[in-house]
Amino acid sequence: MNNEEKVLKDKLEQSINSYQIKTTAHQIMETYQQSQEEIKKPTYSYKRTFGILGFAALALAVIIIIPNFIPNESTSNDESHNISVPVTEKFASIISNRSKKGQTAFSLFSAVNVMSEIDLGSQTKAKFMSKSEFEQMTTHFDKSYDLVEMLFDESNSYEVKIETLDSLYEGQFQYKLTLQFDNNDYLFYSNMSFEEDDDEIETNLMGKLVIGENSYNTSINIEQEDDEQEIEFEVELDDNKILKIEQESEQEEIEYEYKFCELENSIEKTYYEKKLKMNLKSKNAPHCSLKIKSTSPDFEAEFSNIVFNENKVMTVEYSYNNSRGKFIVEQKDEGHRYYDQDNNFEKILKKIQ
Amino acid sequence: MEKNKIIKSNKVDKMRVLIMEEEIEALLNGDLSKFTSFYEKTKRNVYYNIYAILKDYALSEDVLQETYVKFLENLPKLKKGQNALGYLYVISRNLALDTIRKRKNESQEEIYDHMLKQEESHLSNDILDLAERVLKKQEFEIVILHLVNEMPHKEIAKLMHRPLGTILWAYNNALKKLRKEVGLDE
Repeated sequence: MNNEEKVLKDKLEQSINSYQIKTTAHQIMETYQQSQEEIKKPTYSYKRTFGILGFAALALAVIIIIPNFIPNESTSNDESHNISVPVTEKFASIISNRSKKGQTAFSLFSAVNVMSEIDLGSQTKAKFMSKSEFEQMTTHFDKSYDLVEMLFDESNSYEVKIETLDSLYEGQFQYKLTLQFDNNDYLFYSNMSFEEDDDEIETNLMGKLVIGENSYNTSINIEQEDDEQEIEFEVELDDNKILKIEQESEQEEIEYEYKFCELENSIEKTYYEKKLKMNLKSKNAPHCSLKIKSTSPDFEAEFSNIVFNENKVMTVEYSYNNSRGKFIVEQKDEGHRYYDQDNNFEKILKKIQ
Repeated sequence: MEKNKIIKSNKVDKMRVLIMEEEIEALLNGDLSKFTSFYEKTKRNVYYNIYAILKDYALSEDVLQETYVKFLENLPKLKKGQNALGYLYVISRNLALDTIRKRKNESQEEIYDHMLKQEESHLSNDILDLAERVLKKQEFEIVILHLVNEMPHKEIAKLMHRPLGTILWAYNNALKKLRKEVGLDE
């Protein structure tokens, strides 16, 4: 604690200590003993009735829910979906890239990608287009397409550059990390050189993420232990809105969790979350899964066994509104073509610029 | 450098735990006669933890009482060697946040009455008033926890479920603002 902090501490303590706490230990003990006596009063009849009703409700729920989780035979036997893709090498390069620079760059990229999904000015107004379920589902999925594709495709690469600045950015940051992707530059200013240090178990840094004309306070916490790494990444979108990214990677699995939160009187409220998990311990090819949950607009879906074949066709199994099935995604000149063969649904979504 | 700070803060925590060891052991064995002494040693820290969120003396008293009652009710869950003060911080913070939620449902009249009472009892506490006015809610909470309660940043991060970097960022911002307001800035 430096001298200035001590001065502030003394002043605050002086001010706060002028208040005498009135609550006594005796009052607390009295209230506690009263509460204990109330607990001793018999309540068995209510609890027993509730227990039976609760059990019945649970059993009913299980009976209703179970059929939704039994795979449909006609879809599981569909040969067109049994695709084994030799993507291990491409995949491994990103997954095994546990360097702070690489992982921070990926977190930055994904932050930008996820941020573009949310209309920050109007997220409280639910604007949900009333098209078919398939269209709704694929539209939501398409927002994550770039993120998923990036994990599979090494050629779809980004460039990361670290520069030491001659003069401090905003008077406090010495290093500039430039992430180039898809002809766009994303900048991150911090005081970290991103040089690898094997002895370092925990790293905390603050910085500024600059996207176009906007800049955001950003904090990163990296914990590394043996083969496990945890990264917590927070972008303050404004005083009350935060994007949180938590990444956990182990040898056989890597998981990303993205959350958009709003702060209301210091209480965090998540209104959009996305979980991206990649499983490397697979008999065939590595695959990933994606869960999207949003309260505004109301949407929840799970996408699993996501794989790419050599022709860059993506296969996805979905679970949405009690429906289960598969669709493929092809890259066409006009955009992404989504096709569900079983239902003969088709949707082309133009790439968001 | 950061690692050194963490080691230092752990030592402070261990000392606090040792000071209360006797009381905690007695409480865990069902001997409530030591509660008064335990309360006297911990009440200020817990009170400031609540005040940092509610910024209201009277309401903070209510939550303080509720916190210790809840603590006593949950004593069997406390393990030997567990940081009792940390446990109190978690309970009191949750109850303070609950109070804010409940207050949202109160009528405007009730809130206004309460504000009047609060103003009457609130003799101008200079720097505290200033801090309440110029700092964001989160910044105020962090400043009180760190400067008054001497809680390490790492523990604050855990308590508030936020990354350490965010806490440090908010703390530094808060200090900058306070320095400027108090006139410590060059």
